[in-house]
Amino acid sequence: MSLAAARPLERSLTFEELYESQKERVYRWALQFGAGSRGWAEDVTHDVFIRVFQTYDSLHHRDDLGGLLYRVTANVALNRLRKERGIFSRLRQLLGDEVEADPHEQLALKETSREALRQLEALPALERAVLSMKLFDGKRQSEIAQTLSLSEGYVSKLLQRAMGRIRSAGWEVSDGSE
Amino acid sequence: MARSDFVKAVEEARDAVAEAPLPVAVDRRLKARLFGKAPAPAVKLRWKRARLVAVAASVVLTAGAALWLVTAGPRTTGGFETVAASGGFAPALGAGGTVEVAGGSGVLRVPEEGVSLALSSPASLRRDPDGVRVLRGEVDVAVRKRPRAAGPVRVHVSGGTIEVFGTRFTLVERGDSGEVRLFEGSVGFRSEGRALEMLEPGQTLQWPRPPPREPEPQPDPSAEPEPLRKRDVPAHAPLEETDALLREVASLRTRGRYTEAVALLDERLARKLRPASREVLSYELGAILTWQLRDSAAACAHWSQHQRAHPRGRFAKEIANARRALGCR
Repeated sequence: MSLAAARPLERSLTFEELYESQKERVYRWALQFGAGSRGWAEDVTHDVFIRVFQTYDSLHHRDDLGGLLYRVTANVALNRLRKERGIFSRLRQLLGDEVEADPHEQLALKETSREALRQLEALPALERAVLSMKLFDGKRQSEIAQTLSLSEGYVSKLLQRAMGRIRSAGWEVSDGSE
Repeated sequence: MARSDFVKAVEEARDAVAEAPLPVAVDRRLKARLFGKAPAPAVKLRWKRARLVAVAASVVLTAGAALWLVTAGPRTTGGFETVAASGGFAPALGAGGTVEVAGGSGVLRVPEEGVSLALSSPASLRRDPDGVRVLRGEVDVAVRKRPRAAGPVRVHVSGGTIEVFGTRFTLVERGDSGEVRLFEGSVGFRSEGRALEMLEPGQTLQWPRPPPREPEPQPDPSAEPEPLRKRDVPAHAPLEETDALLREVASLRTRGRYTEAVALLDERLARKLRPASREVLSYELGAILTWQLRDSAAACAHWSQHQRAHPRGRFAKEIANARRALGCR
């Protein structure tokens, strides 16, 4: 059986149709977690749909397909960010194996926004994921905690740490962001 | 550098991302990777010709699909059904029933166990009588929720066995070490000489596991008992264990898995606990029986027992409310 021939969701939606209807939003979420990198977002989008396919049989019980896809995207992205922090991945990047031309050039961005995305990229994986969810998607701490299976207290600590790093890198952080 | 506002700068980036469409080339590549085909390029055909081509294609496809259904069925290798494949993913049967994946990525399934495994090359794995053994590689595992009576699915790795009750996790097996990271549900890790270690969503466990601690030397019964000193404390479960248990119970409650939460609390309450921990855990158990499971008989009995054990307990008001709601005598 191929992915395209998978059993229909809610009688009329095949997996291919699910992909067609949701690809744009999954790709955008992936772009956010990847700080604008298109190649990265493409890989994450691929992995998200592969993972959704794994639980496809039980999807017809899901009312909140958007919530499920967001949760899967966040966790796939976080996993990938963690792996990229590994020494072998860094070595590969140093050796030029995975170098992408400045990904932020591909989006029409002001220099300040590019700098901000680079700053976001420099954060540890979990802090970056949590802060992206807050700033890009306006998620509350409780929602972030639920999505990533963390405690609310820990999410709060991660946000504070991330903001501390950003401040010490010379940025101002406006009120209400923590 | 002038100090710029980080949040405003990210908000501008957010607006740019929100307007970024999925590029056609990316969409084409994704379809090729996911469905093993590239959509036809957008070439304008004359209507009649296009209709003719469509009719011919559908006839060929229908005949092909019918032939495939009759003759092929899903491809099975070493007890694993290939349900999705991309990038030259072709599991091959090796020595001793081992399935080797040398290229691409895809999804294998063990239908009778309700297990599906998404993996990228290189990886090798094998069907075992009670589950699956991962010999090498990185595997995302999803197991359909199972009735407790069916027992767990077992995923064997070099350092022990992951016992799965219906969940989603990633495991990395490096041959003599590895790790498992749990996303949702519950798994336990069993290794030689150690008790089953349960993981909470978000937790990672690595193997090989450190050797179990030496048991405390048993006191010589013939020796004179030492007088109790003021600082001696009984060997109760540490407070961190109670905290971890409460977190796990909260996690199960948010996912509606109340009977599992009750079983977990029951099991812990059967052990030696500090009075304060016992009261909290017992209250949690009563609250689940009352408000989630709505089992009046069990809840009323539990509250009576709780109040006998903690006559001046700190949850008196809440328990009075619960008993009133349940109509306990």
